[in-house]
Amino acid sequence: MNTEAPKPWVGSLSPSELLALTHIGIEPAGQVYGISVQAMWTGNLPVTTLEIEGERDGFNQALTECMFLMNAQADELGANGVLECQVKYEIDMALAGPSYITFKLEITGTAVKDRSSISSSRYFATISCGEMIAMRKAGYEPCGLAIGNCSYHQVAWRQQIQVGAFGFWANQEITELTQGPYTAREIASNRMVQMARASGGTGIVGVDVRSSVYPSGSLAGGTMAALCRMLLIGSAIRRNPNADSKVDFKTNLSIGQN
Amino acid sequence: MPYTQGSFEGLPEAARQRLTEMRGTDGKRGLFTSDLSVNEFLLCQEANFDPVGLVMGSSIYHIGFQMQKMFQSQELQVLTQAMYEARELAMTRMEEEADVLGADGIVGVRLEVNRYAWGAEMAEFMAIGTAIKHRGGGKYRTVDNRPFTSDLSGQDFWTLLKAGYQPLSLVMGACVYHVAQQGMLQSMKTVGKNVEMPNFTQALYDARELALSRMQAEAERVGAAGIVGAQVQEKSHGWDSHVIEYFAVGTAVKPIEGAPPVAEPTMTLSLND
Repeated sequence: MNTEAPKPWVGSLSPSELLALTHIGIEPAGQVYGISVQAMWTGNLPVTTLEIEGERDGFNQALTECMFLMNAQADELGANGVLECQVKYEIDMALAGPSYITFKLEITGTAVKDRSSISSSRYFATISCGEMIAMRKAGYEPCGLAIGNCSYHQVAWRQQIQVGAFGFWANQEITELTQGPYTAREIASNRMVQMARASGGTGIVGVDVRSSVYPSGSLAGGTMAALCRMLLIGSAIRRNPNADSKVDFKTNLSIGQN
Repeated sequence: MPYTQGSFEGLPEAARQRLTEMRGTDGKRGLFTSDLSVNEFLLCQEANFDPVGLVMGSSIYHIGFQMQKMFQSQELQVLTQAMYEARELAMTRMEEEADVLGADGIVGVRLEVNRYAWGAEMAEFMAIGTAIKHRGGGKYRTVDNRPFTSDLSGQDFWTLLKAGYQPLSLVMGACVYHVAQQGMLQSMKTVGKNVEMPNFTQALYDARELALSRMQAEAERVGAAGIVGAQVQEKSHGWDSHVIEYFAVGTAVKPIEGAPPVAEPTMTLSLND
């Protein structure tokens, strides 16, 4: 007979959140995390405008590994949901030596035992425990993480901002460079939507947009190139067809708060 | 940049495809995306608005150069113009995306300016928000049939509607100002004394007033009764220490005709800090 007492769970919940979670049939189970570091050989970046597929594949590999680790830990804890997922993505251009890009993906979350879940599989979400309470009361359920990533190499003609002898003085949009983050966002957005659809979601809330633009060097003929990275992270949700969704919202005036 | 309803200008092919899919067919909408938090999402729904998509506009802009007189406080109009025009470009593109989605408005609009160390003369301007559509076909578009824009959160948007007002447009005013440096003699006079620096005070006053008056003029143009959530941001986007931008931004609002009386608020004491 196993007499070992269960280990205490660890969570970042406040006592009021714990109270409200218990009320809707959710019990915290502990913290889970996944981490993956990938290195990609870049060689020389191309002189054309295109997506850097190596980064895409590396990110997907890192995401798969993180989810595997988190699922394994949630299994151990007997959890069927993971809330408050926080995604940290770091890129290092020098760690693994020249011509290599190293990226680290780290996801942490609070595993929960959800007795009211309508899903047969485990869900992951960035939403907080407090938001989970409001969402369930309103008849919505989390389905899974929705993440889209893209690294796009955009080539632009630097002469565009040096029109004539006094071009430097002028205000003007750099239209070709503007197109880079736009295209990266579109590709990332489509991937995020596909991931949400695959988990059965009908919408995505709380999308966090992270973008950056770095120069990838000056090319021949005064052409300037930039690497545009876009990462979109949100939570896929759907309506619970059996829920009584009418929530009575009241206009509250909180005292002593902003 | 003039706003053209239904225009796809500047949008990549993938964006057109995505927006068309999200708009849906035969009245059935596709999967929506949104940067609203869960609470914001629920409150928008409660106010009879459905999110239809995350919309974004951006522009990478080359900011021109303007000579400044060291000992004279003055507005740097080339820089002011650049900050205005680039934000307008980003805003217009975001509105066009919302328009393609058939949205009535955009809430939670954030305007961001990113400067990069590698391109000192350039800045990336981004406008991001969530496009929403009224479930009952309410008239929330502006008089020129544009989706309304607002930087209010979902909570503030819900409260505004409950108060009997509707948002019209995100209004803004910018002013980039060069604050004159003190001359040697002037500096000597103040050594060891507690004194006001009137030239600095006056310059900051002037710059703030210009930004505020421009924001108010925009609100008047759209026929607003007032501006809520107005804030004046003070930023130096990597310019020298005597150059500063005052940026006033808020949501222009007007009363809703025939709105029900405001409900009695419930007083609460939060259990949280």
